[in-house]
Amino acid sequence: MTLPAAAGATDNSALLRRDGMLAQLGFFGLALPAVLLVTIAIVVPLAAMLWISIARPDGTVSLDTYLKIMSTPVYTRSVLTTFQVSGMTVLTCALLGTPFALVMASVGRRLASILLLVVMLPFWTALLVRTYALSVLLQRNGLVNRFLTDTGLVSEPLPLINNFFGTIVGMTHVMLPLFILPVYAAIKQIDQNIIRAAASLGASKLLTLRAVILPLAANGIFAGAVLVFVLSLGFYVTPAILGGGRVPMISTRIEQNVSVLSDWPAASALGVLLLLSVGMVFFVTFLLRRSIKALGGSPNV
Amino acid sequence: MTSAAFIEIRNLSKAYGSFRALNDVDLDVGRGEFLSILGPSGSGKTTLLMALAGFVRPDRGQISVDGRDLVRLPANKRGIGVVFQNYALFPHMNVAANVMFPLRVRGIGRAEASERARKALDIVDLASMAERDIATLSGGQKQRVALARAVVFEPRLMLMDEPLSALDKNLREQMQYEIRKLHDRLGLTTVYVTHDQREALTMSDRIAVMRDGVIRQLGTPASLYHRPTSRFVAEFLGEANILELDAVDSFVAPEPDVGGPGRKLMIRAERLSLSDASGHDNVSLDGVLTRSVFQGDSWLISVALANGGAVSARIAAAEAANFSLEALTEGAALKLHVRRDAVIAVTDA
Amino acid sequence: MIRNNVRNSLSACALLAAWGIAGQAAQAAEVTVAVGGGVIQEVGRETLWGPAAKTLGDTVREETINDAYASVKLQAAANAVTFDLVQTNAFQAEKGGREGLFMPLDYSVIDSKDFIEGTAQKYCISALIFSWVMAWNTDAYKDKAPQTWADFWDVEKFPGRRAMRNDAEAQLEIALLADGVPMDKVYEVLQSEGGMQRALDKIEQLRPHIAVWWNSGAQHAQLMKDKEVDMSVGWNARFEAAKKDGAKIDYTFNQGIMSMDCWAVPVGAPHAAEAMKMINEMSKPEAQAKFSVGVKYGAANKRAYETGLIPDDVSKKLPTYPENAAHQLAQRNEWWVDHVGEAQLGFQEMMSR
Ligand SMILES: Nc1ncnc2c1ncn2[C@@H]1O[C@H](COP(=O)(O)OP(=O)(O)OP(=O)(O)O)[C@@H](O)[C@H]1O
Ligand SMILES: [Mg+2]
Repeated sequence: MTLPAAAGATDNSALLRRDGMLAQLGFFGLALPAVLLVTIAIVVPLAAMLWISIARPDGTVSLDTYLKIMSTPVYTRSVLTTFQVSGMTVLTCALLGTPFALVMASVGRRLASILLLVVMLPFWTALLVRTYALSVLLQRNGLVNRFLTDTGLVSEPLPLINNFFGTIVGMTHVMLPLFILPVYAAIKQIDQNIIRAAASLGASKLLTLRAVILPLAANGIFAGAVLVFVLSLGFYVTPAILGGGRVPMISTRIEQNVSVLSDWPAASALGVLLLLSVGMVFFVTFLLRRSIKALGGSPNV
Repeated sequence: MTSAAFIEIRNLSKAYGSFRALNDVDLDVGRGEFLSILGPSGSGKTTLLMALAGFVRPDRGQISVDGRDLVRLPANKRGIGVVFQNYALFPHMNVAANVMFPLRVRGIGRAEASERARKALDIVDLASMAERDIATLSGGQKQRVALARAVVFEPRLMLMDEPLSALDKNLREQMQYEIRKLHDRLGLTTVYVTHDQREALTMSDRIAVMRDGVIRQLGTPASLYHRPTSRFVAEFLGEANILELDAVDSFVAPEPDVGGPGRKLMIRAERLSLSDASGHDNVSLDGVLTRSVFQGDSWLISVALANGGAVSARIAAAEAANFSLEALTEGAALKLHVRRDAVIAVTDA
Repeated sequence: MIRNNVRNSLSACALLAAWGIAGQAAQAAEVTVAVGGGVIQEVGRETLWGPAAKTLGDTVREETINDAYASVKLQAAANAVTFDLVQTNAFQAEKGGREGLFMPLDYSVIDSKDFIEGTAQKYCISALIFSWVMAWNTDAYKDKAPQTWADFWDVEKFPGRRAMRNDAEAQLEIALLADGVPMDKVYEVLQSEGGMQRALDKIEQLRPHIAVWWNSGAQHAQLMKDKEVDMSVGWNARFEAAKKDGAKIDYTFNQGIMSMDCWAVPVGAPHAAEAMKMINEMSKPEAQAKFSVGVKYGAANKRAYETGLIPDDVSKKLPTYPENAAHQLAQRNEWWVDHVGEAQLGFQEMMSR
């Protein structure tokens, strides 16, 4: 083949850009049905929820329902309770899950997989069954209280259930695996030589943990915390059963509005607020991450 | 070495299950010495080095450094500088924070730590990069940071595990030079693991060649290269021709037991020559050229010997120029010459 | 041309077929009955709408639904009501009726003269009756069992942990009974100025002793079984089942609150007239007696107990057995529908304070 003398100098970029766009279009074409389906399945119900929360029977639109909710202590308090329960769940998950993940990452492969199994075990039992099993453990005549009174550690059974404490125990039980898995993955990803390097440079185990391992696992801890927090915000079953009616979450109020009060606008408005809370958590997370990055992210020793 | 050695390793053994990664290793390293541990993959180099650093607990044996028994001392109390193969820098700290880390761990104030870190970075020519993020550095720069971090707290002993294996050839050669310079300048004692024989030959005062958890031979680069005691060491450090004892007619064994079973002769390829230089006690080998390859600075020729066996010979370009092209074509009969003292008796393993 | 002919004759066939179906519908309707599933659906098919359809020459299509009110509301909103007959709780029937979801029942077709007072209402008529009763641990109160709601409130004479429902329904009535309001004045007091607050205050008094605000039937029976609480408000059938299971508990119908699930007909039901006739069949003493035996809930038709179809040992444990019904209050949903928002919010407020 002979090329014209100037062929090497032609500009191909326009043609290449067009090829690229066509290839992309083809890809979008293939993905379109799935994208549409997902969009419809997610967006339409959300839009309906939003509409129900602001529509008056006469077809006009107002924020009355929201104002009513904001000014009713039952609702504002349940928002507070929801954040308390979620925050506390994150805290206990972090306090229990981080050491567990550390141990899991530092023991041999066989023991690690046994521990992983232990963590995952609750996933294989139905939520309701697990929750009732916990109440068998924690109730007035439950195993824990029987042990405590029999051994004389306490004279009266402790109130371990049907309150905030029981709710947190139950929530932690449900959420712990979701926290441990990302943290474990993050710790496992840390190069063993980095940990050895810290020791060779003179750092004790504790200092290595604080200055090297935890900062490097921070992504996983953060991911786990956000995941647990967001999932906790919308949790219903566990607080309903283990809270004994004393831990009214937003989800509890939604359920009451649907089934007891048949007040769909209020239920929808609460749903919208819950969604906004989740959005807010993600937004704050995003801001936090960015500012940490902007500060250089060098938490020194 | 005498008992005045800086590092003394005695009967060191380490097994993983039934697999013996280190088998009764003895090794002395002198103060200020640059010692390389050379060996094929899996020979136990890292295991030996990590035993020194405190990350591998030996099953048996002793390690002492500067007269101090180390075996039960935890790694963070040993005060040994370690440089790892993949740098092992702290990715969440910048360059300065990495280098300051060992100082801050030792309770040195921020101002002094910062000053000393700057000096250490100066030594490795990175003073201008103190505030850079680790992720933005090139491989060579990361290696320098790792070096600066390992020397900043002024350890007497430096351990390096294949520190240059991730770098390209040019950078590697430059860093070899710089590491050796650093060693000399700071008066360090260095144990350096590599499986690159050229690197070991270039940098070391002495080399320990390992195989299967055992040190096969220990010596200066020249002595290991020229006087290997085993076929393994000979072949590991350069181009070696291995021949039966009777392949060389007039060869006289220099040692009494050289004729024993399992003994072979070794001749380095570049010691074989086409011309019979006078004035030396030479041995000659008759043969037929079976293959010749031009390699720029030299020719590599293969010769089938009349007495059986075959050798490869590296003929320097300057010598090859004395011969016609026909003399170097396949099928040509020729005579190879070698100095008698370049014919070495080795064990066949 | 041939093709045209074919098309003509095809459409003629279709017309004929459509006419045929329409004609059939005029004679025997397919009535759609929407119920909540479970044992009620099984027994109901055998004793209520099954036989009723047979008598009337209709057929029945069953739908299983979770929440009658929500389902009907959705159908109505979409202008596509397909249910003819739904089983719902009385509160939602009253609320839905006022919102135009359910039509007034035709009592010229339905014979309700033998129904317990208050169980045949404007928009719905009783399908089954259960009671809110008091249960106690027989070990905890060996010497003297509590008998009234006043006893439930009396933590001096009957020390121990209580459980109530985390929902105002029936709890307000109970509180007023405990406060000494006579049975026939309960709704009057609730309706009066400050009546609801009186009930809420009464419950708040007991609040420190309420260990659990339960939220499901399964839960409150379990609480008693596990001795997590010593005394509980709850449903008679659940307590009876726990007692049969060997739990050390007993309960009383005295001052119980009778609640009902009932039949309602959605506005726009395709076969509303047939549905009314079917309700009438299902309300007859024999049908009510058979269903009652099958599901262990009370029948609203008093004459069901005269049919001889309910064995003695069963009838005495039913809330509407004349002896039991005499000491109970039938719940009125008119008040509840008017005040549910403030009552429930006030209750939740009191609970979580
Ligand atoms: N933790 C361990 N468990 C089991 N076997 C191990 C362990 N560490 C090392 N080994 C084995 O011990 C032998 C020596 O390992 P070592 O890492 O010392 O080799 P090396 O000489 O450094 O090799 P390379 O050049 O590949 O780095 C290898 O066969 C290796 O598989
Ligand atoms: Mg190695």
